[in-house]
Amino acid sequence: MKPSPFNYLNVTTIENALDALSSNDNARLIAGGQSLVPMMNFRLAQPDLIIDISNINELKNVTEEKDYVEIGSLLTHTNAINSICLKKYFPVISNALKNVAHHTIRNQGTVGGSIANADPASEWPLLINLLDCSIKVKSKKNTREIPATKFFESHFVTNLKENEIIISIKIPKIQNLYGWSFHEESPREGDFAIVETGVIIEIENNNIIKNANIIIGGVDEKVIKLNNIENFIIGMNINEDLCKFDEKIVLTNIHPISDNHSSEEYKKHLSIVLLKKAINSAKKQILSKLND
Amino acid sequence: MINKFKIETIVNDKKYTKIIEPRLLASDFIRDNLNLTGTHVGCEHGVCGSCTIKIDGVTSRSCLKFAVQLHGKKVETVESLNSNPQKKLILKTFKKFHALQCGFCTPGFLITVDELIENEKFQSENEIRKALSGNLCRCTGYENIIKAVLELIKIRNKK
Ligand SMILES: Cc1cc2nc3c(=O)[nH]c(=O)nc-3n(C[C@H](O)[C@H](O)[C@H](O)COP(=O)(O)OP(=O)(O)OC[C@H]3O[C@@H](n4cnc5c(N)ncnc54)[C@H](O)[C@@H]3O)c2cc1C
Repeated sequence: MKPSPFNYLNVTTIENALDALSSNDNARLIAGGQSLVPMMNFRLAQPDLIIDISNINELKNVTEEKDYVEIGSLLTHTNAINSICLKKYFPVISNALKNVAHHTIRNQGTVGGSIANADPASEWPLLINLLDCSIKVKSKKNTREIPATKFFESHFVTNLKENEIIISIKIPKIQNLYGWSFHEESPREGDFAIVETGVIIEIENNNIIKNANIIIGGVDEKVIKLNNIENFIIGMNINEDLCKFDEKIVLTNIHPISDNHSSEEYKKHLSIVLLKKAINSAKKQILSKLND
Repeated sequence: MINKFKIETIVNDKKYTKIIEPRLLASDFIRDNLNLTGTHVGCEHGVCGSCTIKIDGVTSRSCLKFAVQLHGKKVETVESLNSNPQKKLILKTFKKFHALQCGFCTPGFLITVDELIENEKFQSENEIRKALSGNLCRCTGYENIIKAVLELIKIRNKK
Protein backbone atom coordinates (compact mmCIF):
# COMPACT_ATOMS: atom_id res chain seq x y z
CA MET A 1 0.00 0.00 0.00
CA LYS A 2 2.77 2.45 -0.87
CA PRO A 3 2.91 4.39 -4.14
CA SER A 4 5.58 3.55 -6.70
CA PRO A 5 8.40 6.10 -7.14
CA PHE A 6 7.64 9.37 -8.94
CA ASN A 7 9.09 12.83 -9.35
CA TYR A 8 7.34 15.82 -7.89
CA LEU A 9 6.87 19.39 -9.03
CA ASN A 10 5.10 22.10 -7.06
CA VAL A 11 3.70 24.88 -9.26
CA THR A 12 2.08 28.16 -8.23
CA THR A 13 0.86 29.41 -11.63
CA ILE A 14 -1.36 27.93 -14.33
CA GLU A 15 1.35 28.61 -16.93
CA ASN A 16 3.94 26.55 -15.06
CA ALA A 17 1.46 23.72 -14.64
CA LEU A 18 0.67 23.73 -18.38
CA ASP A 19 4.37 23.81 -19.29
CA ALA A 20 5.09 20.81 -17.09
CA LEU A 21 2.04 18.92 -18.34
CA SER A 22 2.92 19.40 -22.01
CA SER A 23 6.60 18.50 -21.66
CA ASN A 24 6.28 15.25 -19.68
CA ASP A 25 4.80 11.89 -20.57
CA ASN A 26 2.86 10.07 -17.88
CA ALA A 27 2.45 13.16 -15.70
CA ARG A 28 -0.58 13.61 -13.43
CA LEU A 29 -1.96 16.72 -11.76
CA ILE A 30 -2.76 16.51 -8.09
CA ALA A 31 -5.41 18.76 -6.52
CA GLY A 32 -6.84 17.46 -3.24
CA GLY A 33 -5.39 14.00 -3.78
CA GLN A 34 -8.53 12.38 -2.36
CA SER A 35 -9.08 10.17 -5.40
CA LEU A 36 -5.61 10.07 -6.93
CA VAL A 37 -3.61 9.13 -3.82
CA PRO A 38 -5.80 6.10 -2.95
CA MET A 39 -5.29 4.96 -6.56
CA MET A 40 -1.53 5.49 -6.22
CA ASN A 41 -1.43 3.69 -2.87
CA PHE A 42 -3.11 0.72 -4.54
CA ARG A 43 -0.75 1.22 -7.52
CA LEU A 44 -3.70 1.47 -9.86
CA ALA A 45 -2.09 4.76 -10.92
CA GLN A 46 1.69 4.94 -11.37
CA PRO A 47 2.56 8.36 -12.74
CA ASP A 48 6.21 9.30 -13.38
CA LEU A 49 5.61 12.90 -12.41
CA ILE A 50 3.15 14.50 -10.01
CA ILE A 51 2.41 18.15 -10.74
CA ASP A 52 1.03 19.69 -7.57
CA ILE A 53 -1.50 22.40 -8.49
CA SER A 54 -2.96 22.66 -4.98
CA ASN A 55 -1.03 25.88 -4.27
CA ILE A 56 -2.31 27.85 -7.30
CA ASN A 57 -4.34 30.43 -5.39
CA GLU A 58 -6.03 31.98 -8.43
CA LEU A 59 -7.96 28.73 -8.94
CA LYS A 60 -9.68 28.89 -5.54
CA ASN A 61 -12.10 31.80 -6.06
CA VAL A 62 -15.86 32.17 -6.36
CA THR A 63 -16.71 35.14 -8.63
CA GLU A 64 -20.16 36.51 -9.27
CA GLU A 65 -20.93 37.98 -12.70
CA LYS A 66 -24.24 39.38 -13.97
CA ASP A 67 -25.56 36.15 -15.51
CA TYR A 68 -23.42 33.49 -13.91
CA VAL A 69 -21.21 32.49 -11.00
CA GLU A 70 -17.74 31.19 -11.81
CA ILE A 71 -15.94 28.84 -9.44
CA GLY A 72 -12.25 27.96 -9.63
CA SER A 73 -11.39 24.30 -10.12
CA LEU A 74 -9.54 24.15 -6.77
CA LEU A 75 -12.57 25.17 -4.72
CA THR A 76 -12.85 22.50 -2.01
CA HIS A 77 -16.12 20.76 -1.21
CA THR A 78 -16.07 22.43 2.24
CA ASN A 79 -15.56 25.92 0.79
CA ALA A 80 -18.30 25.32 -1.77
CA ILE A 81 -20.69 24.28 1.03
CA ASN A 82 -19.81 27.42 3.01
CA SER A 83 -19.87 29.89 0.08
CA ILE A 84 -22.52 32.55 0.71
CA CYS A 85 -22.75 33.33 -3.00
CA LEU A 86 -23.35 29.69 -3.98
CA LYS A 87 -25.89 29.27 -1.19
CA LYS A 88 -27.76 32.34 -2.40
CA TYR A 89 -28.08 31.33 -6.06
CA PHE A 90 -27.73 27.54 -5.97
CA PRO A 91 -28.72 26.11 -2.59
CA VAL A 92 -28.80 22.65 -4.18
CA ILE A 93 -24.98 22.66 -4.25
CA SER A 94 -24.42 22.68 -0.49
CA ASN A 95 -27.36 20.33 -0.02
CA ALA A 96 -25.82 17.77 -2.39
CA LEU A 97 -22.19 18.19 -1.33
CA LYS A 98 -22.96 17.34 2.28
CA ASN A 99 -23.26 13.79 0.95
CA VAL A 100 -19.69 13.75 -0.36
CA ALA A 101 -17.62 11.56 1.96
CA HIS A 102 -16.83 13.01 5.40
CA HIS A 103 -15.83 16.48 6.39
CA THR A 104 -12.09 15.73 6.52
CA ILE A 105 -12.24 14.49 2.90
CA ARG A 106 -14.40 17.48 1.95
CA ASN A 107 -11.75 19.81 3.42
CA GLN A 108 -9.26 18.61 0.80
CA GLY A 109 -11.22 17.35 -2.23
CA THR A 110 -11.96 19.83 -5.03
CA VAL A 111 -14.59 20.36 -7.70
CA GLY A 112 -11.98 20.12 -10.50
CA GLY A 113 -10.63 16.81 -9.20
CA SER A 114 -14.11 15.47 -8.74
CA ILE A 115 -15.24 16.16 -12.30
CA ALA A 116 -11.91 15.12 -13.86
CA ASN A 117 -12.31 11.86 -11.97
CA ALA A 118 -15.88 11.51 -13.37
CA ASP A 119 -17.24 8.85 -11.09
CA PRO A 120 -20.85 8.33 -12.29
CA ALA A 121 -22.08 8.12 -8.67
CA SER A 122 -20.39 11.37 -7.59
CA GLU A 123 -22.29 14.47 -6.57
CA TRP A 124 -20.40 17.15 -8.53
CA PRO A 125 -20.89 15.53 -11.97
CA LEU A 126 -24.63 15.40 -11.23
CA LEU A 127 -24.67 19.06 -10.15
CA ILE A 128 -22.72 20.13 -13.26
CA ASN A 129 -25.44 18.59 -15.43
CA LEU A 130 -28.31 19.74 -13.24
CA LEU A 131 -27.15 23.37 -13.32
CA ASP A 132 -26.23 23.41 -17.05
CA CYS A 133 -22.67 24.41 -16.25
CA SER A 134 -19.84 24.83 -18.70
CA ILE A 135 -16.31 23.79 -17.94
CA LYS A 136 -13.45 26.09 -18.88
CA VAL A 137 -10.27 24.19 -19.73
CA LYS A 138 -6.89 25.36 -20.91
CA SER A 139 -3.91 23.89 -22.73
CA LYS A 140 -0.70 25.73 -23.64
CA LYS A 141 -2.15 26.87 -26.95
CA ASN A 142 -5.89 26.88 -26.48
CA THR A 143 -8.75 27.73 -24.11
CA ARG A 144 -12.17 26.16 -24.58
CA GLU A 145 -15.47 25.87 -22.78
CA ILE A 146 -17.11 22.45 -22.71
CA PRO A 147 -20.85 22.18 -22.00
CA ALA A 148 -21.82 19.75 -19.24
CA THR A 149 -23.55 17.39 -21.68
CA LYS A 150 -20.29 16.94 -23.67
CA PHE A 151 -17.85 16.80 -20.75
CA PHE A 152 -18.64 13.41 -19.22
CA GLU A 153 -18.16 10.48 -21.61
CA SER A 154 -18.05 7.26 -19.58
CA HIS A 155 -16.90 5.71 -16.27
CA PHE A 156 -13.92 7.88 -15.29
CA VAL A 157 -13.64 9.20 -18.87
CA THR A 158 -14.12 12.84 -19.83
CA ASN A 159 -13.65 15.05 -22.86
CA LEU A 160 -10.53 16.54 -21.24
CA LYS A 161 -7.31 16.11 -23.25
CA GLU A 162 -4.06 14.98 -21.64
CA ASN A 163 -2.47 18.43 -21.94
CA GLU A 164 -5.49 20.34 -20.57
CA ILE A 165 -6.24 21.66 -17.09
CA ILE A 166 -9.69 22.47 -15.76
CA ILE A 167 -9.60 26.17 -14.86
CA SER A 168 -13.13 26.93 -13.71
CA ILE A 169 -16.81 26.10 -13.90
CA LYS A 170 -19.43 28.61 -14.98
CA ILE A 171 -22.85 28.19 -13.40
CA PRO A 172 -25.59 30.21 -15.12
CA LYS A 173 -28.06 31.99 -12.81
CA ILE A 174 -31.63 30.75 -13.12
CA GLN A 175 -33.94 33.53 -14.28
CA ASN A 176 -37.40 32.07 -13.61
CA LEU A 177 -39.03 31.09 -10.34
CA TYR A 178 -37.77 27.57 -9.65
CA GLY A 179 -37.74 24.64 -7.27
CA TRP A 180 -34.84 22.27 -6.68
CA SER A 181 -34.14 19.01 -4.95
CA PHE A 182 -31.42 16.45 -4.48
CA HIS A 183 -31.87 12.95 -3.05
CA GLU A 184 -29.48 10.05 -2.73
CA GLU A 185 -29.38 6.68 -1.10
CA SER A 186 -26.06 5.27 0.10
CA PRO A 187 -25.13 2.26 2.26
CA ARG A 188 -23.73 4.46 5.05
CA GLU A 189 -23.34 8.15 5.76
CA GLY A 190 -20.56 9.47 3.49
CA ASP A 191 -20.39 6.46 1.18
CA PHE A 192 -20.75 6.85 -2.57
CA ALA A 193 -24.40 6.93 -3.66
CA ILE A 194 -26.14 3.79 -4.90
CA VAL A 195 -28.52 6.09 -6.77
CA GLU A 196 -28.60 9.92 -6.73
CA THR A 197 -31.16 12.23 -8.30
CA GLY A 198 -31.38 15.99 -8.82
CA VAL A 199 -34.29 18.02 -10.13
CA ILE A 200 -34.77 21.66 -11.11
CA ILE A 201 -38.17 22.84 -12.28
CA GLU A 202 -38.70 26.40 -13.56
CA ILE A 203 -42.13 27.96 -14.03
CA GLU A 204 -43.55 30.99 -15.84
CA ASN A 205 -46.03 33.57 -14.51
CA ASN A 206 -49.04 31.41 -15.35
CA ASN A 207 -47.69 28.46 -13.28
CA ILE A 208 -46.79 26.54 -16.42
CA ILE A 209 -43.54 24.57 -16.31
CA LYS A 210 -41.14 26.25 -18.69
CA ASN A 211 -38.02 24.23 -18.13
CA ALA A 212 -36.98 21.10 -16.27
CA ASN A 213 -33.66 19.41 -15.56
CA ILE A 214 -33.93 15.87 -14.28
CA ILE A 215 -30.65 14.06 -13.65
CA ILE A 216 -29.84 10.65 -12.24
CA GLY A 217 -26.46 9.18 -11.23
CA GLY A 218 -25.04 5.81 -10.17
CA VAL A 219 -27.09 3.82 -12.67
CA ASP A 220 -25.09 4.06 -15.88
CA GLU A 221 -21.60 4.69 -17.25
CA LYS A 222 -22.14 8.41 -16.62
CA VAL A 223 -24.67 10.73 -15.03
CA ILE A 224 -27.86 10.60 -17.15
CA LYS A 225 -30.14 13.48 -18.16
CA LEU A 226 -33.68 12.13 -18.47
CA ASN A 227 -34.86 14.18 -21.46
CA ASN A 228 -38.04 12.13 -21.84
CA ILE A 229 -39.26 12.87 -18.34
CA GLU A 230 -38.26 16.53 -18.72
CA ASN A 231 -40.30 16.78 -21.92
CA PHE A 232 -43.21 15.04 -20.21
CA ILE A 233 -43.50 17.68 -17.50
CA ILE A 234 -42.59 20.78 -19.54
CA GLY A 235 -45.83 22.57 -20.40
CA MET A 236 -47.74 21.05 -17.48
CA ASN A 237 -49.31 23.19 -14.78
CA ILE A 238 -47.30 22.93 -11.56
CA ASN A 239 -50.46 21.84 -9.71
CA GLU A 240 -50.87 18.73 -11.87
CA ASP A 241 -49.54 15.28 -10.91
CA LEU A 242 -46.02 15.40 -12.38
CA CYS A 243 -45.22 11.77 -11.65
CA LYS A 244 -47.76 10.12 -13.96
CA PHE A 245 -45.04 9.32 -16.50
CA ASP A 246 -44.57 5.79 -17.79
CA GLU A 247 -41.87 4.21 -15.59
CA LYS A 248 -40.59 2.26 -18.59
CA ILE A 249 -39.26 5.50 -20.07
CA VAL A 250 -36.91 5.81 -17.12
CA LEU A 251 -35.86 2.17 -17.24
CA THR A 252 -34.96 2.24 -20.94
CA ASN A 253 -32.66 5.21 -20.33
CA ILE A 254 -30.59 3.76 -17.49
CA HIS A 255 -28.35 0.68 -17.34
CA PRO A 256 -27.51 -0.16 -13.74
CA ILE A 257 -25.41 -3.21 -12.95
CA SER A 258 -25.43 -5.40 -9.85
CA ASP A 259 -22.57 -4.94 -7.40
CA ASN A 260 -21.84 -5.90 -3.81
CA HIS A 261 -24.09 -3.14 -2.47
CA SER A 262 -27.24 -3.84 -4.46
CA SER A 263 -28.76 -5.69 -7.36
CA GLU A 264 -29.72 -4.27 -10.73
CA GLU A 265 -33.40 -4.75 -9.80
CA TYR A 266 -33.02 -2.81 -6.57
CA LYS A 267 -31.24 0.05 -8.34
CA LYS A 268 -34.05 0.26 -10.89
CA HIS A 269 -36.66 0.30 -8.14
CA LEU A 270 -34.69 2.92 -6.21
CA SER A 271 -34.33 5.06 -9.34
CA ILE A 272 -38.09 5.34 -9.74
CA VAL A 273 -38.69 5.98 -6.04
CA LEU A 274 -36.01 8.66 -5.78
CA LEU A 275 -37.04 10.35 -9.02
CA LYS A 276 -40.64 10.73 -7.90
CA LYS A 277 -39.52 11.92 -4.49
CA ALA A 278 -37.18 14.47 -6.11
CA ILE A 279 -39.79 15.76 -8.58
CA ASN A 280 -42.39 16.10 -5.83
CA SER A 281 -40.07 17.92 -3.46
CA ALA A 282 -39.08 20.42 -6.19
CA LYS A 283 -42.77 20.92 -6.90
CA LYS A 284 -43.59 21.42 -3.22
CA GLN A 285 -40.91 24.06 -3.00
CA ILE A 286 -42.38 25.97 -5.93
CA LEU A 287 -45.86 25.80 -4.40
CA SER A 288 -44.60 27.19 -1.11
CA LYS A 289 -42.70 29.96 -2.92
CA LEU A 290 -45.94 30.83 -4.77
CA ASN A 291 -47.81 31.04 -1.46
CA ASP A 292 -45.24 33.38 0.10
CA MET B 1 16.12 9.27 -11.68
CA ILE B 2 14.02 10.24 -8.70
CA ASN B 3 15.02 13.52 -7.07
CA LYS B 4 14.99 13.87 -3.33
CA PHE B 5 13.56 16.96 -1.71
CA LYS B 6 14.61 19.01 1.26
CA ILE B 7 11.48 20.07 3.12
CA GLU B 8 10.90 22.43 6.00
CA THR B 9 7.76 22.00 8.00
CA ILE B 10 6.47 23.05 11.40
CA VAL B 11 4.95 20.15 13.30
CA ASN B 12 3.38 20.87 16.69
CA ASP B 13 5.21 24.22 16.79
CA LYS B 14 8.59 22.63 16.18
CA LYS B 15 10.51 23.20 12.96
CA TYR B 16 11.86 20.16 11.13
CA THR B 17 14.15 20.04 8.09
CA LYS B 18 14.33 16.63 6.37
CA ILE B 19 15.44 15.16 3.08
CA ILE B 20 12.85 12.80 1.64
CA GLU B 21 11.63 11.01 -1.48
CA PRO B 22 8.40 12.34 -3.06
CA ARG B 23 6.58 9.02 -2.69
CA LEU B 24 6.85 9.09 1.12
CA LEU B 25 3.35 9.45 2.55
CA ALA B 26 2.85 12.16 5.17
CA SER B 27 1.62 9.49 7.59
CA ASP B 28 4.86 7.49 7.29
CA PHE B 29 6.95 10.67 7.47
CA ILE B 30 5.30 11.68 10.74
CA ARG B 31 5.70 8.25 12.30
CA ASP B 32 9.06 7.08 10.93
CA ASN B 33 11.01 10.28 10.24
CA LEU B 34 9.69 12.44 13.07
CA ASN B 35 9.03 9.61 15.54
CA LEU B 36 5.59 11.02 16.32
CA THR B 37 3.90 7.65 16.56
CA GLY B 38 0.61 8.95 17.96
CA THR B 39 -0.67 9.20 14.39
CA HIS B 40 -1.84 5.70 13.43
CA VAL B 41 -1.90 4.11 10.01
CA GLY B 42 -4.95 1.99 9.22
CA CYS B 43 -6.43 1.58 5.77
CA GLU B 44 -4.10 3.84 3.74
CA HIS B 45 -6.88 4.89 1.38
CA GLY B 46 -8.73 7.55 3.31
CA VAL B 47 -11.56 5.45 4.71
CA CYS B 48 -10.73 4.68 8.36
CA GLY B 49 -9.67 8.09 9.69
CA SER B 50 -6.92 6.84 12.07
CA CYS B 51 -4.21 8.94 10.43
CA THR B 52 -6.11 12.25 10.58
CA ILE B 53 -3.92 15.32 11.22
CA LYS B 54 -4.36 19.06 10.73
CA ILE B 55 -2.57 20.90 7.93
CA ASP B 56 -2.72 24.70 8.16
CA GLY B 57 -5.57 24.39 10.64
CA VAL B 58 -7.88 21.99 8.76
CA THR B 59 -8.10 18.24 9.09
CA SER B 60 -6.67 15.98 6.43
CA ARG B 61 -5.96 12.28 6.06
CA SER B 62 -2.18 12.03 6.32
CA CYS B 63 -2.23 8.84 4.21
CA LEU B 64 -3.62 10.89 1.29
CA LYS B 65 -0.89 13.56 1.35
CA PHE B 66 2.76 13.22 0.47
CA ALA B 67 5.38 14.42 2.95
CA VAL B 68 6.79 16.70 0.25
CA GLN B 69 3.45 18.55 0.27
CA LEU B 70 3.99 19.52 3.91
CA HIS B 71 6.83 21.87 2.88
CA GLY B 72 6.07 25.33 4.24
CA LYS B 73 2.95 24.14 6.07
CA LYS B 74 1.97 24.02 9.71
CA VAL B 75 1.04 20.56 10.92
CA GLU B 76 -0.70 19.46 14.11
CA THR B 77 -0.76 15.84 15.21
CA VAL B 78 -2.48 14.22 18.17
CA GLU B 79 0.61 14.96 20.31
CA SER B 80 -0.22 18.69 20.06
CA LEU B 81 -3.34 18.21 22.18
CA ASN B 82 -1.24 17.33 25.20
CA SER B 83 0.68 20.61 25.27
CA ASN B 84 -2.31 22.93 25.34
CA PRO B 85 -4.44 23.08 28.54
CA GLN B 86 -7.60 23.88 26.62
CA LYS B 87 -7.09 20.98 24.22
CA LYS B 88 -6.08 18.67 27.03
CA LEU B 89 -9.72 18.85 28.06
CA ILE B 90 -10.54 16.69 25.01
CA LEU B 91 -8.22 13.98 26.33
CA LYS B 92 -9.63 14.24 29.85
CA THR B 93 -13.21 14.07 28.64
CA PHE B 94 -12.49 11.01 26.49
CA LYS B 95 -11.01 9.39 29.60
CA LYS B 96 -13.96 10.40 31.77
CA PHE B 97 -16.49 8.80 29.42
CA HIS B 98 -14.33 5.79 28.61
CA ALA B 99 -14.48 6.87 24.98
CA LEU B 100 -11.76 4.46 23.94
CA GLN B 101 -10.93 0.82 24.32
CA CYS B 102 -7.96 -0.48 22.33
CA GLY B 103 -6.96 3.06 21.34
CA PHE B 104 -6.08 2.40 17.72
CA CYS B 105 -8.64 4.78 16.23
CA THR B 106 -8.40 7.29 19.10
CA PRO B 107 -5.78 9.72 17.67
CA GLY B 108 -7.93 10.20 14.55
CA PHE B 109 -11.04 10.76 16.62
CA LEU B 110 -9.26 13.26 18.89
CA ILE B 111 -8.01 15.43 16.01
CA THR B 112 -11.41 15.28 14.30
CA VAL B 113 -13.16 16.24 17.55
CA ASP B 114 -10.69 19.11 18.02
CA GLU B 115 -11.85 20.52 14.68
CA LEU B 116 -15.52 19.84 15.48
CA ILE B 117 -15.59 21.76 18.73
CA GLU B 118 -13.78 24.71 17.17
CA ASN B 119 -16.66 24.98 14.72
CA GLU B 120 -19.89 26.49 16.10
CA LYS B 121 -21.87 24.74 13.36
CA PHE B 122 -21.77 21.42 15.14
CA GLN B 123 -24.33 21.36 17.95
CA SER B 124 -26.77 18.48 17.90
CA GLU B 125 -26.12 14.80 18.50
CA ASN B 126 -27.18 14.05 14.95
CA GLU B 127 -24.65 16.53 13.53
CA ILE B 128 -21.92 15.03 15.67
CA ARG B 129 -22.76 11.48 14.61
CA LYS B 130 -22.60 12.56 10.97
CA ALA B 131 -19.36 14.45 11.46
CA LEU B 132 -17.72 11.46 13.13
CA SER B 133 -18.93 8.98 10.53
CA GLY B 134 -15.57 9.29 8.77
CA ASN B 135 -13.74 7.67 11.67
CA LEU B 136 -14.05 3.95 12.22
CA CYS B 137 -13.86 2.32 15.66
CA ARG B 138 -13.85 -1.49 15.73
CA CYS B 139 -14.29 -1.89 19.49
CA THR B 140 -17.77 -0.42 18.86
CA GLY B 141 -17.16 2.40 21.29
CA TYR B 142 -19.19 4.97 19.39
CA GLU B 143 -21.79 5.61 22.12
CA ASN B 144 -19.19 6.70 24.65
CA ILE B 145 -17.36 8.78 22.07
CA ILE B 146 -20.60 10.64 21.26
CA LYS B 147 -21.24 11.20 24.98
CA ALA B 148 -17.76 12.69 25.40
CA VAL B 149 -18.19 15.01 22.43
CA LEU B 150 -21.61 16.17 23.62
CA GLU B 151 -20.04 17.07 26.97
CA LEU B 152 -17.25 18.99 25.19
CA ILE B 153 -19.83 20.89 23.15
CA LYS B 154 -21.72 21.74 26.33
CA ILE B 155 -18.56 23.11 27.94
CA ARG B 156 -17.73 25.09 24.79
CA ASN B 157 -21.22 26.59 24.59
CA LYS B 158 -20.99 27.82 28.20
CA LYS B 159 -17.90 29.90 27.40
C1 LIG C 1 -13.13 7.85 1.86
C2 LIG C 1 -13.55 8.65 0.65
C3 LIG C 1 -14.90 8.77 0.36
C4 LIG C 1 -15.30 9.51 -0.74
N1 LIG C 1 -16.65 9.63 -0.99
C5 LIG C 1 -17.07 10.39 -2.02
C6 LIG C 1 -18.46 10.58 -2.29
O1 LIG C 1 -19.32 10.06 -1.57
N2 LIG C 1 -18.80 11.34 -3.35
C7 LIG C 1 -17.86 11.94 -4.15
O2 LIG C 1 -18.22 12.64 -5.08
N3 LIG C 1 -16.56 11.79 -3.92
C8 LIG C 1 -16.13 11.04 -2.88
N4 LIG C 1 -14.78 10.90 -2.66
C9 LIG C 1 -13.82 11.53 -3.61
C10 LIG C 1 -13.60 13.00 -3.31
O3 LIG C 1 -14.76 13.74 -3.56
C11 LIG C 1 -12.45 13.61 -4.11
O4 LIG C 1 -12.19 14.83 -3.52
C12 LIG C 1 -12.68 13.90 -5.57
O5 LIG C 1 -13.16 12.80 -6.27
C13 LIG C 1 -11.37 14.26 -6.26
O6 LIG C 1 -10.96 15.56 -5.95
P1 LIG C 1 -9.47 15.87 -5.59
O7 LIG C 1 -9.32 17.34 -5.60
O8 LIG C 1 -9.09 15.18 -4.36
O9 LIG C 1 -8.70 15.28 -6.87
P2 LIG C 1 -7.34 14.47 -7.01
O10 LIG C 1 -7.43 13.18 -6.29
O11 LIG C 1 -6.19 15.35 -6.71
O12 LIG C 1 -7.37 14.19 -8.57
C14 LIG C 1 -8.31 13.32 -9.18
C15 LIG C 1 -8.07 13.28 -10.69
O13 LIG C 1 -8.41 14.54 -11.26
C16 LIG C 1 -7.29 15.11 -11.95
N5 LIG C 1 -7.37 16.56 -11.72
C17 LIG C 1 -7.45 17.19 -10.51
N6 LIG C 1 -7.59 18.52 -10.68
C18 LIG C 1 -7.60 18.74 -12.01
C19 LIG C 1 -7.73 19.92 -12.81
N7 LIG C 1 -7.87 21.16 -12.28
N8 LIG C 1 -7.70 19.78 -14.17
C20 LIG C 1 -7.57 18.56 -14.72
N9 LIG C 1 -7.45 17.42 -14.03
C21 LIG C 1 -7.47 17.50 -12.67
C22 LIG C 1 -6.08 14.43 -11.36
O14 LIG C 1 -5.00 14.42 -12.27
C23 LIG C 1 -6.61 13.04 -11.07
O15 LIG C 1 -6.58 12.27 -12.22
C24 LIG C 1 -14.34 10.15 -1.57
C25 LIG C 1 -12.97 10.03 -1.28
C26 LIG C 1 -12.57 9.29 -0.17
C27 LIG C 1 -11.10 9.16 0.12
